[in-house]
Amino acid sequence: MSKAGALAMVVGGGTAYPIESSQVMGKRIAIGGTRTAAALEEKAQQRMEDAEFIRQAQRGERAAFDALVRRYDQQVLRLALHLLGNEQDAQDVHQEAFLKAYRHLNNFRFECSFYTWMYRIVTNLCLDQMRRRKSRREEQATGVDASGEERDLLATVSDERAMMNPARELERKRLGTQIAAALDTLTPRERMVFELKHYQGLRLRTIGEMLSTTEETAKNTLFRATRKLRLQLAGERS
Amino acid sequence: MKCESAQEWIVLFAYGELEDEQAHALELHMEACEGCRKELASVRAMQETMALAVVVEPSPNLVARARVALDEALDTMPSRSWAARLLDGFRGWGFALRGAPVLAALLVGAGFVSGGFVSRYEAERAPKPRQAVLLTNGNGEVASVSGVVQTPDSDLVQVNYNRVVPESIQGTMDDPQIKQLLLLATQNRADIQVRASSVSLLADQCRTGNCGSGGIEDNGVRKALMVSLRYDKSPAVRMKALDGLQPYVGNDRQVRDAILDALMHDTNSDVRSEAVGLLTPVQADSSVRAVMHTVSTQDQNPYIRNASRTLLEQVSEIQ
Repeated sequence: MSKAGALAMVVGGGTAYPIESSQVMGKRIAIGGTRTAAALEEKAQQRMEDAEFIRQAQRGERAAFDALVRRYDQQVLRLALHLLGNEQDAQDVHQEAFLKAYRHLNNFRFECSFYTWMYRIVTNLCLDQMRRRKSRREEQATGVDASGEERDLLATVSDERAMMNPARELERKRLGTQIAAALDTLTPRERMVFELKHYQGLRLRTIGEMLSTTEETAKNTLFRATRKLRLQLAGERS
Repeated sequence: MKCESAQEWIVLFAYGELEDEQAHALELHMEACEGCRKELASVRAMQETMALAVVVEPSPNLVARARVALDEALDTMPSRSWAARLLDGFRGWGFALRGAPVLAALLVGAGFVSGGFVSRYEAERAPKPRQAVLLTNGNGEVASVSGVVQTPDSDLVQVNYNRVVPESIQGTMDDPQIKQLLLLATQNRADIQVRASSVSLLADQCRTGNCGSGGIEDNGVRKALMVSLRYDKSPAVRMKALDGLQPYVGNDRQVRDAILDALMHDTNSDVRSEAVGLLTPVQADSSVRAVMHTVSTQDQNPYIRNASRTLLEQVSEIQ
């Protein structure tokens, strides 16, 4: 199954599958911060096509809305799955988000990209779910997947090599717990900003747009998140 | 530069959010300041650790389940009334609105009745699906590099990458997993062969009557064919999708509308002429006639203009 790197963990119930190039919209920009001309052009092209689909969907063409859904639904699931840790919650977010989009499509006035608009809906739904969990003091490390089995949020995928190296297996489990604990110290908003920046590779300005706030606020949230995480990780080590 | 203000800059630097000028200023500062160098190293270490919680792709099963559930929910949504949507549609075709809604209501009613009969028949005759067999290769390949990070140590580079694991599955067309994978395949923008093969298989299923109006999955097949008909970049794939939708022209209004849309807007004349042919069973329908009327005068292709004119005349003869 998934073997990303020597000590990588799998968050959530899925395994890694090939990403269709057309589906990778929030491209992970190399940490150096450069954007190629080709990437920008593809983005512009995507926006244009989206706009056409949206116009048709607004006129009532269901096929156009279906096409729009196809372009984004894997990304939506990927984000929700990583944030919420189980397939059922991810599917619920997916469902609610696209139903909301369908209901409010006529309110979309093209002032931002559909991508940003969609992500705004999705992040709000995820934040709601995260807040509900925190207030219910749910154990954040466990999630139930579609088969009903309880799964560790950072469960390692079984690997023949793991059997042969129990010491490494233990190390992976320990790190998994450590990471989960660190993420748990973040507020839902901090977790969201960290997710969008660190795991999804979006720019802080985009993150601000998606969370309906300023880039400055997103920056400060990121600082708080990284400070908390570093404290937590350092504390565990000593 | 003061080290307190550098702290925040260091985080932004580590995430590639600093302007080039600012990044340069920070680098200069760090050359002389060990404290800040350590700070950056510490941030990098945190990034490395946190990155171990890899973002995984949703499994095809999850994607398929989510799509099916969404489709169901959208189908049952009380969206704008059919009359309002019809009016919008007719507005686009420049058709006089007087008699249309009544006729449309009759057609929709007829569609529901015949659809009900068909689904009961199909359900009785549905073969039991055989279990699909998974043929898995095992080893994951590196699919893409997602980040290259420079560390303070000039000898060391950190590379973030994603590994994907190709898998194969074998089974019959009745198997829901196979079907869902084929539905996904119709949207593979990179590979036309994959799209062509999957649309072809699904269309053949539909033509042989194996995706009646009963199951939810079968609805998904029809919808996927409609999307391919309207939006696939390859005319050959669009033709094949059209082929698969033929049995439903008479009893599925959405299919009929999609074909009418293709007739009006498809850039390929073969697709359009095929579409004209498919509309013969519903040639008496007023909205179809409206489109035929437009096409008979405005299509670029003489054969198509002729064919639609002939259809219109056939109907007036009957009447």
